[in-house]
Amino acid sequence: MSENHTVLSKVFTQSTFKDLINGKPNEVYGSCVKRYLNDAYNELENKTVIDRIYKILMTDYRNEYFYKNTLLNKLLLGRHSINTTVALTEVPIRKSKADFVLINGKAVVYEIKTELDSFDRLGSQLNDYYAAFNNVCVVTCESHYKKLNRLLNNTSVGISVITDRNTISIRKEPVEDNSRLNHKAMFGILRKQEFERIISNFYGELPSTSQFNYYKECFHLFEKIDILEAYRLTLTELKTRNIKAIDEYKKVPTQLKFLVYFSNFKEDDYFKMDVFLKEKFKGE
Amino acid sequence: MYFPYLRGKQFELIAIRELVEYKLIGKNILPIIEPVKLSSTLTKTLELFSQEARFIAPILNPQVGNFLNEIKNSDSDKNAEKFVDLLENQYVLGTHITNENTVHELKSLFEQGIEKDNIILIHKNRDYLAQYSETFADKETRYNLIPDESVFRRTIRHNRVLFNDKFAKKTRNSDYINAIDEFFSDDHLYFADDGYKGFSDYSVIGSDYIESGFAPYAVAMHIVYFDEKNNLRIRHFVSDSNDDIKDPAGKFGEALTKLVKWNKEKNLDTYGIRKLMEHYENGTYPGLGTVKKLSVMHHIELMSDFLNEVY
Repeated sequence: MSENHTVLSKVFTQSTFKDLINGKPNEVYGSCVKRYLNDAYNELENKTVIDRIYKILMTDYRNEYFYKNTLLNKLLLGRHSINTTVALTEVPIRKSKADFVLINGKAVVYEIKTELDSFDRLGSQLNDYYAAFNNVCVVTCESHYKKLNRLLNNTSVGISVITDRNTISIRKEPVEDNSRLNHKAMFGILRKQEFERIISNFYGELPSTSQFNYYKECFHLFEKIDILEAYRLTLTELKTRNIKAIDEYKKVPTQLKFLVYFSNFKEDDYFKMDVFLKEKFKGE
Repeated sequence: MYFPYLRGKQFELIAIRELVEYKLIGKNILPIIEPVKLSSTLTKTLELFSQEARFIAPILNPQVGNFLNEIKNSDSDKNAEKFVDLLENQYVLGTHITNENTVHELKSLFEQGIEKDNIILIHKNRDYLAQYSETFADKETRYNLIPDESVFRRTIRHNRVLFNDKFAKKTRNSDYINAIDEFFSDDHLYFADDGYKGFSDYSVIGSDYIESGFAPYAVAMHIVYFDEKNNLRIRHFVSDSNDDIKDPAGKFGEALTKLVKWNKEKNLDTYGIRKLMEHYENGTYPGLGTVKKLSVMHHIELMSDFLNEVY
C-alpha cells in the first residue's frame, strides 16, 4: 500500500463535498482528479470523474471510507431496509469510538481494521463496545483474517472479510453477549432529548432539580431501569436518528452513499449535489 | 495603563463591551483586539467604544483567524463597510503587528488616512525592528507593545508598553489541578519604574489561538486576585468528575462550589464574580463561553480598579 494515496482519503469527506456542491473551488478534488485521471478528465461529468476515483480507491487504496461505504451499501441498503434500519458512525463509547453501528431489531457494532490498520487497540475497543451494544463484529481484509481469527477464536466477536472482489464474507457470526452491558456507557450515547424521552415515558415525569444536578438525576433514574429493558429503550431512541428525505437519498450514487448519509442533507442539498454531478469537471 | 490583548471571538468581545456598557472600567484600560471574524459583534463593540469616547485598538493585520479573507471577499457586506468607517473614528486606533512587509503595509495605511502618531505597533520579532526605525524616524507611534528584552528596548525608546503572555496554559483542563494557585504578574507594580507607559497580556486566555473549542473533559475557571503585596496571582477551579465530555453543567457546578467556598475568605467583588455567585445561588449553568467571559471581565475590572487607585 503506497502512502502517496492519502489525498484520496481527503476527497471523500464532508468538507470537500460541501465546497463542491456549493460551487466553491476545492483544491483536494482538483489536484486529485488531475493526478489520477491524467489528462483524461476533459469533458467528463463529475459523476464519471468520481466513479473513476472511487475505482482507484477500490483497487489500490482500500481505506476506512471504502470499508464504511461498502458496509453501508451492502448491509443497510442491500440486506436490510433504509426505512427500518439506522446506521450510526463514530459513536463514542467509553474511551473508544465505534466505527459503524447498525440498528434494526438488534444492534451490531462493526469495528473496521483495514489493511492499513494495526490491531493495537482492538482489545480495549471491543471491551468498550460490549458496554453499550450486545453484538460486535470486526470487519477486515483477507490478509488480516488468519491473525484475527486466532485472536478472537473463543470470543463472541464476529468476523467479516471484505474480499478482493469487494463482497462481504461472513467468517464468524457474532454471538449476542449481554453480560457486559452497562447503564453508564449506554446513557453516554444518548442525546439530552433522547434520555429525557426514555425517562418521562418510563416514570411519567422528569426530575425537577438544579441544572448542576439534572444530568446526574436523570442518569440515576435510568440506572434503576432493568438493564435489558434500558438497552431496548436505548435502541428504540437511537433508531429515531433516521435520515430525512429518503426518496432523494435513494438517488445518490453508490460511491457517495456513506458520505451523504452522515451529512445531514436537506432536500435542497440533494438538488445541488445532482447539479454538481451532472456538470462537467471544471479544473480547480 | 493596561492593554488587555484579546482575540475578537464572540465572548471576548462581549466581555469588554459589557465592561464599558455597565461602566465597570476606567480610561486606564485600552483593549487590543485581534479580529478573527467579521461579525456584527465586532463592529458593535467598536461602535460602543467610540460612542462612549473610550479608546479601542483593532489589529488591522491579524495573524490568526479568517478576518482578512472575509473582509476581502465582502461585496457590500454591511459589517465590512461599518468596520472601514469606524477606522476613521478618533477612538478607534489602528494597530499593526510588525512583519516582513511592515514598511509597505504601513505606507498603505498612512495613505488611507491613518496618522503615524495614532498607530499602535506590536513587536513580536526582532527581525523587523529595522523596518520600524525606517518608518518612524521622524514621528513616534502612539504605543509600541514589546517584550521585556533589551534588543527591543534599545531600538524602541518611546511609548513602550510591556507585552507578555502571563497565562501558563496547560494542555488539558484537568492539568490545572496540579498547580491550583500560581503567580500571574507584577507588571502593574513595576512598569512605570521600568520605563513603560503601560503593560499588556493575553488575560486569562493565553496566546494560543484555537479556532473552535471542543467539549472538554474537565471544566476549569481561572480567577486572578491580588496577594498582600499586590502581586497578581491566579487560582484555577477545576471540576472533579472528569472521565468524559458529558454533563458540563454538573462539572461547572463542582468547580463553582470550590470558587464560592474560596471566595468566602477572599471576598472578591467584581461584576464577573457576582454573576458567578448568582449562578451558584440559582443552580444555573450559562455555558462555557459565558464562564470565560465572566472570568475575563473579572480580570479587567480588577486591573481597572487597581490603576484607578494608584494612578
